[in-house]
Amino acid sequence: MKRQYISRLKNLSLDYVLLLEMLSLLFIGFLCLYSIMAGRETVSLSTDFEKQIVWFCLGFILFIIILFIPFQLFFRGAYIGYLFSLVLLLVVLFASSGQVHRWISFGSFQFQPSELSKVATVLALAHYLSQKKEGHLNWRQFLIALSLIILPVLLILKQPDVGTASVFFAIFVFMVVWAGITWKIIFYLFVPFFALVSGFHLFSFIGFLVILWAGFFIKKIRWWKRLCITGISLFLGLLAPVVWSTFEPYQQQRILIFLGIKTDPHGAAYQAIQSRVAIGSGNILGKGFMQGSQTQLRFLPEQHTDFIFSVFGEEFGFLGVMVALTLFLFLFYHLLHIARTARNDFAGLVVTGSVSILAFQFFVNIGMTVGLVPITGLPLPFLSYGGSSLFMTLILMGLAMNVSSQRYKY
Amino acid sequence: MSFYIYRHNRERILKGIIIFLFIILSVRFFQLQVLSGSIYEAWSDRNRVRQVSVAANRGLIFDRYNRILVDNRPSYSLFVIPYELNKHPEMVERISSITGLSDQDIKERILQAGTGLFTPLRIMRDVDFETLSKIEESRLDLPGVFYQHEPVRTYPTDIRASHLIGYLSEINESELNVLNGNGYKMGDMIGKTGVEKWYDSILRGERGYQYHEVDVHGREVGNFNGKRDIQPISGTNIRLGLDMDLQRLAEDLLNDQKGAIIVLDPQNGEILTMVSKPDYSLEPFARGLSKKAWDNLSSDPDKPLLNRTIQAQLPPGSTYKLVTAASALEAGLIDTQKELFCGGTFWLGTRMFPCWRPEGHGSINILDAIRESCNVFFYQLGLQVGVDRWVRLSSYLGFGRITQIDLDGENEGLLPNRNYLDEKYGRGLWGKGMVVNLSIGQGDLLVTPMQMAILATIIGMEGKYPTPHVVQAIQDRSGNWNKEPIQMNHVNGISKPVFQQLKEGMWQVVNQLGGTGRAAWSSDIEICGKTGTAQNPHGEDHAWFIGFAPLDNPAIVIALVVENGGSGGGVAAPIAGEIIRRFFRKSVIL
Repeated sequence: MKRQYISRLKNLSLDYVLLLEMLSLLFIGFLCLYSIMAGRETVSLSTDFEKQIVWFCLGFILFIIILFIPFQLFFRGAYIGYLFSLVLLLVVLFASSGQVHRWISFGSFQFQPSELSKVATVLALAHYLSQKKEGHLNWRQFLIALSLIILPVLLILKQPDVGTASVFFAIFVFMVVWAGITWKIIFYLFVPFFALVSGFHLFSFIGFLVILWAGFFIKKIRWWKRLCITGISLFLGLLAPVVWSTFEPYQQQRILIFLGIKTDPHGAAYQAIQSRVAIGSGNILGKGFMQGSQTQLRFLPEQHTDFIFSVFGEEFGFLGVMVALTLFLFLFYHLLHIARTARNDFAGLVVTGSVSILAFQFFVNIGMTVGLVPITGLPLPFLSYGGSSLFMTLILMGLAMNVSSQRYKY
Repeated sequence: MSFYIYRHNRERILKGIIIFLFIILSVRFFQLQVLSGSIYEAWSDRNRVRQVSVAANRGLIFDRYNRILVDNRPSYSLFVIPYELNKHPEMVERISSITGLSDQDIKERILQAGTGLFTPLRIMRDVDFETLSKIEESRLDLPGVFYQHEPVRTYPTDIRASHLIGYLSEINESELNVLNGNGYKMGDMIGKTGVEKWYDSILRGERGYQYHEVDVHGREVGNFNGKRDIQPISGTNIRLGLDMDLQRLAEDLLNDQKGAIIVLDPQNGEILTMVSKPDYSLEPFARGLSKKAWDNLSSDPDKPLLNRTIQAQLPPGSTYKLVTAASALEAGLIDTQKELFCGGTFWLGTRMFPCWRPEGHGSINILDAIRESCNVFFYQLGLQVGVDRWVRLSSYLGFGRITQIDLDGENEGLLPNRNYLDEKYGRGLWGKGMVVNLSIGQGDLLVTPMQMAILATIIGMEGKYPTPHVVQAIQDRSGNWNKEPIQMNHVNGISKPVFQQLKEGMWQVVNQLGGTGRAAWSSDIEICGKTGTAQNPHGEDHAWFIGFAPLDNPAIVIALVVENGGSGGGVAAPIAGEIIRRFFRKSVIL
């Protein structure tokens, strides 16, 4: 056993490019955090910077440990880890007090089990999908995979945390596509989705049904199937208002404001507007490090967590933003390349799942700062302040790095 | 068209999704930063909104009859925004010529604060009207300089009670670290001593925020957006157990002597009077004490900053004979009949220990010995009791630990037990001489006046005592006063008859011929007490008096010490008598 580890150590060819991409993004995060903390008047907040550094150090140790764990162990432990994460999600629902159940406290440290459950779900789903024999998923496999996702999603929706729950659907889409899927399943998957979304508005729902039936005639689908699909669509369409009422008032508000149906210059829209002013006023070259007035005067809300990219946009301008976005793009491409060249299906699926989490949060978070996406409170990987999110990111990167360093060895 | 997503396609599809998202974001950023950049820039410039924190009114402090002790008055503080000062360095000179602060002072303050460039920084508190109008005149040349209303403490009474109320001062870094995240920030005033410190978290209230829109010259154009303002929440009012009249009398009686007076209600532990002299005026602290004034106060050899009632550690002298008596009575070593002989001196080997009356007291019982405070009687008793029993009983009566009053910095005194004495003098190198000294409250024993007040309470209440507290009630948001809970403690290990015998002795001290506390006597009140004249290495004796009244179910307890004042009977007892008499006269009127 010991010899095996030593040989691993010797044969490890680290993916330095990946490491560099990761560290550059983390550096940008610390730069923004430093700028924010320099503008704060309380000592307590400047310690947030130190806290983040401590978290990074701990997370980096975790990253290195994961790098050296034989990948089969992740395969074997996937379901146990998945069950463990579900238990943690249950614990957080019952153990924490108040309206929102997101954190488990260890002394003064708080931890978000939903971050861990993302990783665990990716591993479990990868385990399941990697065992299929055919080139693509059949219905049964598809539904089992879906139920693996649904369990944590339901528990997280109960917290309530719609933003994090939505990440799981990104995981599902990416991994299922990677595992191989027929267009037919995609069609059947999208019909209920569109039914639900269009159901919020009568005319859009009627429009949806017209398009659906037009599709039926073109593809010549059997009558009983047509009726079934239409029935399910009607049911979901009518369900939509009920789903709407389950949203918290602030969530409804955010969606309405986002859709331009409602305006609220002081509440949710205020954040969005201030973020846009911050980014826009950055112009091409930016206002300079620690010179962003929107940031420093604290117009920008939640600036070290959800809106940290606005700080970057204000102080480093369009050029800086393009550098950061390109870094993310490189990273995602690099990870997908690692996934394709991975030694086995399991490893490839795990990396794909990692990409899905990172890319989805990347788009939703940054989209939110520029007003493309409603404000959901999803952190930006690598940049946002917060231990749980940073740990999750570093774990995913550790997994990818592990896969990458092994892929050409047989 | 293929019906499946083939493996070589899957990477392309996912990459496609990602590049699609990337392009969407890039276009959006291009639109915001390049195409509309100048619009947003203008917006952000116009948005020179200043976030100004609005100080909350600190909670008021009342005495037990709702008379105001501590109030707030309006004042103005001067602020600068470091960013503007960096941009216009010539401003420093101008500010210094207006305010009288030196250039160096202003620059140092900015360096010291170490906060952000855009954070308003207070450079002067309680600015007078003339300075304010000068600033207003040169408004255009002073961008980023502004003043703001900040209430400060004022003390609209003729009593001092400085140690009880306590002073405020700017929060320091270590306090900030301890209070991390509780709404405290740099530059805040925080209670440093007394009630202001202990109750700071409820007195301080919550600061509010206003958003002021200003132009490039730093002139306020208007309130940016009233809806975003957060109103400050005033601090909670508190009511002390303090009786202002009694406090005034006690302060006057102690005058310019060093010492401490505590008066409390033995039924509920409320502190009616707490005087520590020398004291200091609280007003300069509210204005922002100069460094020189602070140095004068803190280096004064008479230690005016010390709250002697809970911090002074003094030898108790003869008042402690009550503890020795309790030890002997509880152990059954003596009863009220048994007599011991005092010939004026007591010989231990070759060492002579004197009684205060050279001719001696003759054969006397324990009540006589308490009344006349005979040393020789208690020397003999102390030797019978022994140091271990004496320490145990002392500890039952609260010595050697704090009384847990709601004030900071309480000292626990020094109750020397066998281990302590072995350590200090070496095992076997201290002996009966030490025990003889301890039994009359001398030797290594040190107590605080508050501990002595608790001793008097325990005896007066025959074995129970409330935890002392200075705050009587706290006002809730709707204006109702919620009384602080009373915690009643019971002394275990000493039986009731012992306390009754001690009470009898203490009654005799004041009310019988030959009693050392006759000066506290009153014709209509049964005052009980015990005097003490404590020798100390710092000069004249400390004069002690502890007592309570009336004999049954006491309503008042007093403990007082006049440092280097002389004899307990001659100096302390008259003060105690006057305070107790005033207390009862007043009780009748009200």
